[in-house]
Amino acid sequence: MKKRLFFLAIGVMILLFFSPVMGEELSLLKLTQALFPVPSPVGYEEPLAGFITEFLPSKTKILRDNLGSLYWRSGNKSSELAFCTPMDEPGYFVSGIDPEGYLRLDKAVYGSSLIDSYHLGHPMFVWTEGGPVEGVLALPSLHILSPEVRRELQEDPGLHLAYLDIGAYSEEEAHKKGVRMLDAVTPWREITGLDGGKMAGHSLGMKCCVAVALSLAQGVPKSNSPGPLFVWMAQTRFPVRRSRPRSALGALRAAEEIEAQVVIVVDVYPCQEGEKTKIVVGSGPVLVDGQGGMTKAGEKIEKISRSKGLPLQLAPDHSSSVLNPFLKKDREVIGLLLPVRFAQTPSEIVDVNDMEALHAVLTALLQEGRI
Amino acid sequence: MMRRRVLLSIVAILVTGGVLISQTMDRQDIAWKMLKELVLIPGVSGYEKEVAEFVRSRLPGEVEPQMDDMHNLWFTVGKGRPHLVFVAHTDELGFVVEEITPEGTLKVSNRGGFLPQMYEGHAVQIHAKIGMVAGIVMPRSGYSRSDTELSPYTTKDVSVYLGVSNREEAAAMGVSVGDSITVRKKIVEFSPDLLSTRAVDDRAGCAALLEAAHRVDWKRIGNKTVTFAWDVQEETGLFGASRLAQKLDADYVFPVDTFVSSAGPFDSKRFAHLPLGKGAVFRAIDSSNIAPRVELAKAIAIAKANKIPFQLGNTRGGNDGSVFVPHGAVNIPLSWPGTYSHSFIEKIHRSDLEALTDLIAALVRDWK
Repeated sequence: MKKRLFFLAIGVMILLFFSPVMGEELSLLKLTQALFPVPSPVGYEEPLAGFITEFLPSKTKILRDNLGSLYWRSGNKSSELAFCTPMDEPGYFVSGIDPEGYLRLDKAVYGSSLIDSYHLGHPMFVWTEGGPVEGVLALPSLHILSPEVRRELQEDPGLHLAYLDIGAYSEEEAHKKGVRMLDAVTPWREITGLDGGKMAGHSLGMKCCVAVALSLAQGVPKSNSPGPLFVWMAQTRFPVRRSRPRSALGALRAAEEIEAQVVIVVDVYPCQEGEKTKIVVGSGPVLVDGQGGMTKAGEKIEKISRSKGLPLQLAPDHSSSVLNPFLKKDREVIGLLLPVRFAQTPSEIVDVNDMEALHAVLTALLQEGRI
Repeated sequence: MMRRRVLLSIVAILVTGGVLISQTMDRQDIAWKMLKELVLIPGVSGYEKEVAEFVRSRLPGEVEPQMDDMHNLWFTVGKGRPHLVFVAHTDELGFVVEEITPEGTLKVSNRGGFLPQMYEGHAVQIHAKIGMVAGIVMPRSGYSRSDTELSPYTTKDVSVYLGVSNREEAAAMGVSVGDSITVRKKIVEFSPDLLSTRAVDDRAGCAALLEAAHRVDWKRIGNKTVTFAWDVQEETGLFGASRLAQKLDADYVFPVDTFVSSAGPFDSKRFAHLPLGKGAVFRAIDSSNIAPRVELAKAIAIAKANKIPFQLGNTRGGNDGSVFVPHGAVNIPLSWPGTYSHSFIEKIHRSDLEALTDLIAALVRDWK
């Protein structure tokens, strides 16, 4: 109960912060910019869920599962079609407070320690009940850096080197700032505009996907007939233990909850440098047919893209822990993914044109009705 | 009649005193505010003109500043002896574009010493002739795999991505070889008295010196000469200071720069363990200088007489004053305690900057 209240409080703070733009139908880019600063580390998605809820046209049909995923549909019951989008990002939580006032960090999801080390020496936010507290992840002073610490920073970086300095000199002072164990911690973030319509930022790809789905939901006409179901999934970065094929917890739960015959997963496609398939940022969204051969939904997406002159890339062999749980007999599952470069770094790169093409093809799909 | 005169005199004294006190109070936060403006101005070593121009524009009207072709800036007041020189450096750490690759990414060289891995995966600003251009320092290949074997990340590994795919597109953005690069800066304010950001080294020194220039009554410095200087290219080899050392015939030099404190969580407390918020610092011994004890004692006496909080310590690193010593000057470095030196989060306490500003003004006034 206390945890729920805490999340609600954070959600309300975020909502108040963004209240001037609430309730409006913003352009896709402005919606992304508004969503971008909202924290949503895995397991702490409540602020983003609250934000999405406020932007949805009607609050009456919003359901939640106990992982925090959010379900919304426009009609009186769900149609055959569901859009499923992750809404969690990499992040940390306070795992200890040193007597000197430094916060120690941990994360629930295992990953590259090098990515964690990208935050050393940079600003962070602690999301407390009383509001965000600014801090920095300490680095040793260069002039007095010992060879041992230098070697460790270069060859074995990671969270064991993370001391979050919030300007407190004792555990008591840290508490006075409102910091508690397990408070969420995220990097300070700002969108960087690059040439050619590209932009970069922490977990920007996920926020773009959330914005695309939200904008689609805003555009669905009010009707008593069955409407598409939209799912914003929490905890998709958390793996189901011993799952084969690899499954994300939030996606597995959503896959169990929904009855749609056609599922379109809107997620990111992390481009790997030098990858054989040559999927790149700036050449359109990526169509992944989850069942090996092309499904009707996949064919329709291709047809729409061709007829409207929208760029589309194909990655038939792509597999992901978010797509896998939806693969069921008698269900068509496709992924329509936003290619991102430098995934999970503080500068995840997306192309605005890819995002707009993704939005355009899905809008056209909705306008055409049945698949 | 007599009583009325006495009363009027008391009122006059109170009013004058009040005005003076309020003027002093009004200036209490100026160095701090100035610091927050100064750190955001790009000024990689060799590219300090914008910082120097900012400082020149904020100098008191009564002084006559000069600037040389390196963009060293200084003014001198008085004609007698001794000649005191106070110097802070305007440059900061960063990169310079060395090559635009056929793929349109930038290869760079560093200006000053730092860990290049701080930049990996982060946004940078390229200061092109046409204005600021954004870029991303590309993460190394295999960064997302947990089994990637890590080797030291050096400046040679740094590649800046601009969003373009070839050299021509990069050039069309206005980027060219020789442009300077800084990280995108952010000031983290832990409280009204404590902040972290890039380039506190040595914009805090610049701010203290600039504000002290306003606090000094230049008509009452006695029979001595005083020079305030903002010099260039300290981080790459004290080049600006070397020029000034030849030009200015200094008896005493007071470099105003960071005292690298070991108050951070990684640092050995064996030396340099001076806390933040406890006052200005006499950086008595560092890697480039040992301040003569007798002269240091004179400076300490002035701090004590003016009730200025101060600390005394030794640390590592060099200072601009060291190149004045071979010309005969006595070098007494003045500092504030700072943690996380040469990073993007250099940390400083407002009261230390305030004490440092007061200390500079007091030394100008009281040094004999």
